[in-house]
Amino acid sequence: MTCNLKDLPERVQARVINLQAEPSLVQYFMDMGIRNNIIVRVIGKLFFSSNYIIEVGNERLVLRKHEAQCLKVTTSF
Amino acid sequence: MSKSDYLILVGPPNSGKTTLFNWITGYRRQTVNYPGSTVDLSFGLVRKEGCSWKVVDTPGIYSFLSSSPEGEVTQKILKDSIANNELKGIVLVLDATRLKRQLPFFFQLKEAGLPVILALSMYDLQKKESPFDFALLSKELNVPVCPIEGLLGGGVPELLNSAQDQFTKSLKVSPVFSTVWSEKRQENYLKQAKDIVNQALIQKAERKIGRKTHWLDSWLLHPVFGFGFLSLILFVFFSGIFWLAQPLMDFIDNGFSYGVESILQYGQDNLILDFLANGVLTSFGAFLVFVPQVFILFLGIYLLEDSGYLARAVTLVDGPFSYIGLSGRSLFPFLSGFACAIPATLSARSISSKRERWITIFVLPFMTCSARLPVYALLLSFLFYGDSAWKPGLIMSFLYFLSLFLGILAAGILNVFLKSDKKSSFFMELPLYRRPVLSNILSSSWSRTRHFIWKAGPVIFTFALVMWVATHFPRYSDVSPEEQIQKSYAGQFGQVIEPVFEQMGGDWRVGVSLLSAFVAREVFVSVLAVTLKNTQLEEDNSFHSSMVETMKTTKKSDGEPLFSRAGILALLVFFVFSLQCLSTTGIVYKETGSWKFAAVQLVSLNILAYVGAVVIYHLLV
Repeated sequence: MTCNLKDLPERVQARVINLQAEPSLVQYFMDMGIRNNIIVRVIGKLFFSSNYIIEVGNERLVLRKHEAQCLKVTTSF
Repeated sequence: MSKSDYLILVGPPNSGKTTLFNWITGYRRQTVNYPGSTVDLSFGLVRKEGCSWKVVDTPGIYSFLSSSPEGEVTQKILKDSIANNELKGIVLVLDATRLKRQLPFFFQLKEAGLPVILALSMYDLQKKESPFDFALLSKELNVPVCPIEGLLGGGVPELLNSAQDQFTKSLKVSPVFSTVWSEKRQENYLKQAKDIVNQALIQKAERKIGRKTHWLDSWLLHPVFGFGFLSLILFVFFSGIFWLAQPLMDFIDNGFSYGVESILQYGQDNLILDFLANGVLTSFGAFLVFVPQVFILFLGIYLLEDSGYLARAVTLVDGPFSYIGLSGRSLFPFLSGFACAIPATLSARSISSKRERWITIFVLPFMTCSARLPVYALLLSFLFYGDSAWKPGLIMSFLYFLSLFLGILAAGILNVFLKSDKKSSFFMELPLYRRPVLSNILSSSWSRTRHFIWKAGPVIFTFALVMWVATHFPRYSDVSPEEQIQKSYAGQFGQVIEPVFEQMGGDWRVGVSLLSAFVAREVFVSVLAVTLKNTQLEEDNSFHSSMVETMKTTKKSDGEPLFSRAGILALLVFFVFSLQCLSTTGIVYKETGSWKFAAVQLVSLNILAYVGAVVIYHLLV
């Protein structure tokens, strides 16, 4: 399955295949360790899915729905 | 080595720079467990074998590639110290448990030609599962790499030795910071970082997020229960400020009362003794009695930060805050605003969106700052005179929640008028839960409290002096003390402005106290203490009666009690809404760069406060 991170079901592992955002946000993704081929997992969604808690490696990050929409992921490894 | 050699600590947010700074300098300062909250530079001094270095703690940044105010501040101190030939070296502080991700920052500093050594914080956590071969790591990176244990300060002497050995030459070249790296270049550096770290790992066990963090997050970040826990934690926090501090407050209060009594027994008609007792000591006593509450307030904030919960609280509120044009990052300035609006305004710098930052700054004065505590405590003590301590405690908690609610409401209104099409960002790390380091929290809280006392002390002393002179001069012979006050400079001025404050139940004494509070809110209590104590001389001849008892017996010129329940509630409403701290207005101007913004904030909030107080008084009287 290929989708945006925002549509990825909780607890399902996926691989990042594209960062579709303005350059400053892409840079921030990279600074926080999110880049192509990295494995991510949605741990939980908060307040009517306005925020997503994700796990990247051994770290937990939180981002907003529109930021999750910028990450294209696939469940095929 | 000259006295002005700079050792600059650089690193990502939450990497342990501040803890290392504390260990190096012995100067305890805020240890941040919430990304992005260190927005100012901190300086300290370290002396080692005849050398003297200035140590600088910089705001947390992930790299110079993302443009941010924090990055600009860090670049500026680096460039300035190089231009002045003052930079001796940089200590890059990276989190050992996140080294693969953070190491590209090191490559960027090396690429710029800067003298750098590496300090790996959180190594006590990392070595439990995957210790490093530091000799190999140093060889691969071609710089000294020193492990640091934040809890106990292990590794700090070795780090300073390495700095002394490594930074022997003055920097000749001017560094060039790359602000753009291609995606491919970043990928290469990340791969290089991964390879180096993998080689240096003695045991190749991938560290996993602990069961404790999983379990705690499942409750504290629960979509429903999370808000329940947040409300409970804030309720305990704010109500605790009142009842925990009570025994200490009583102790200080009794001490000052005893001091006043002791001075005055040497001569009640002596002008100098009267000034010392009723001017200086009464004013300081009225302020210092609330220091325990201020200390407990800071203690609570640092406890939340240090434990890792604050970042969760920020995450929880981001959703609801986003509907009123703010982000969860506004929670930290709001909470800081409960301590003091000035650092809170400064901490709003961590909000990257200008619009969100301005809305946050505008509504910050609604938060119940520690300067309001003395005022609220006095007014609530009047309202609940003789009642159990939990009643004013409960109302105090309510006032805190009310101020948060009003701030949010005001932000929502501003959001309607300042619409923006651009979606703002909220993307941050959730730190691991940690056991707070009690010594760090205590010393940081005391440091902030001491700063608060030193900041307010001179103002209070000056005002006490001015008010004492204003209420004692010009001198009249053969008049009662009450007549003396009424004919004094303060009395004359107060009577001119009395009609304004009569509308909210006060008289000239309340008016003068409220106006003097524009220098600092807490001055209200001390000025009121001076004016009331002086006017009560004839009535009860009691210098040591408590403020509340004095307020209970104080009469207006028409014989009616000066302080009624309606009048006190009107004063409470006034203080909830008003922006009386001119220092805050100065900082707001500095941070926004707009006098218009600062002036509109000052005028509009105070008009709102006055109108609210007048309405409440006339409704209840």
